[in-house]
Amino acid sequence: MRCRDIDKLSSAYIDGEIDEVRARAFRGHLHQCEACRERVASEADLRDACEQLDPIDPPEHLWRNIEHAVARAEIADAERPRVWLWWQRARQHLLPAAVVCTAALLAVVWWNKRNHQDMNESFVAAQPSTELHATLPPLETAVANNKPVPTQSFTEQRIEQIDRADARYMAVINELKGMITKERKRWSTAMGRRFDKQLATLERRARAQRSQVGPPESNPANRDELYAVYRAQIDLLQQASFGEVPR
Amino acid sequence: MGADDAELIAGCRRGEERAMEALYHQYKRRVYGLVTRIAGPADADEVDQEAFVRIFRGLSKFRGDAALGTWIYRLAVNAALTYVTRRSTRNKRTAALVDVPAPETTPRDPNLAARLEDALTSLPPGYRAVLVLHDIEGLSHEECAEIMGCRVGTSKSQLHKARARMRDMLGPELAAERKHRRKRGEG
Repeated sequence: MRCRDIDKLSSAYIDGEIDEVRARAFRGHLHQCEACRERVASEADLRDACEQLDPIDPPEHLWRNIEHAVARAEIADAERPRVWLWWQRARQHLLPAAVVCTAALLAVVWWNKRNHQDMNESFVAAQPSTELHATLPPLETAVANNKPVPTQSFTEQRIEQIDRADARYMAVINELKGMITKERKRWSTAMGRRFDKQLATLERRARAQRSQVGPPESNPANRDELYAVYRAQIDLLQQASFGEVPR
Repeated sequence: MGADDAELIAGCRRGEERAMEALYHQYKRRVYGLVTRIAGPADADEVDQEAFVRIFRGLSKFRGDAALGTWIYRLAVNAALTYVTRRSTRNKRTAALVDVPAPETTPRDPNLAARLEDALTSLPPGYRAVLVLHDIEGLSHEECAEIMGCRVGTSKSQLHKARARMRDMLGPELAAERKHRRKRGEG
């Protein structure tokens, strides 16, 4: 232990706050170093002198002064505006209120953020896949790609949709007919006749309906009957593809 | 907090003069000694009065988290330190306005206790407060830290520095006292 260690530890040593090992080393240095010994002795004497200082009594009149000062302060309180008194009472609750408001604000922010995130996720889920994009007709593709939509009147758009619906029905009917061409080799003659008869009836009705509604641009509204005939044709073809032709 | 303290506090909160006077008498010596040694004897009455006004008016907010004595010490130390800070600012302002040489230091009393009190006034307020609380009032560092609103380590380090300064100021007197004691012991 050196003199500078003694200087650092002297206070703690005098108060008995250092461990026994360091205290022994501390005393060992004091045996050898007169300057440190004097310094530590002075500090110990100082502490003893402080402890022995007499308590100081306040003058007798002081209590009277204090009473008057407290009374003056209370009179000043009475003269203050009522809002001050209200504020003194309210500010005790200010910290808890601030904590509650902050917590509520954080909760609202979190809830909003979460909702926004959910909406984004559902929006992403609602986006058509790339494959679907490829199958979409030009109008939907343009909308989906956020490209400028070609300017078309309502009637033009409607006619385009009707053409597309007709084409899809016909495509399905032709596909099913192709499947049945292979299947009918296994059918009985009676079943084949029955199928041909029913299909011919439905095709006649379809032709009649088509001639009745005319081209899409002439009467684009009422094509429900025609589509009902198409669906009946598809039902018949589907049942026949399973080897069942209704009587 | 003891039952007596709780009764005293309840009485003071109700504005009972007897309870307030009892509280004053219970703590008057300690508070007065504390503020006298921190703020100086010349302003002790004023600071003591300010401290007790703060104590009586603040009792409604006292929740009993600390001991009543510790809480009272804290208010007294704060009142004294606030006063010392305000006084030093005022003195600086006066010095700036009026270029008057500082008065000579008062001649030192040969008596050690008086010299000690005198030396105390030369310490910075923070050192003075911790020295008074720890060495004169006999409080622990934990209590000092609670009163001063600092860490225990800060209290220890401030006390160490305060003692070193006091030792430097009172070194010759302390050595003379020691020699005198030794002689008496040998005689």
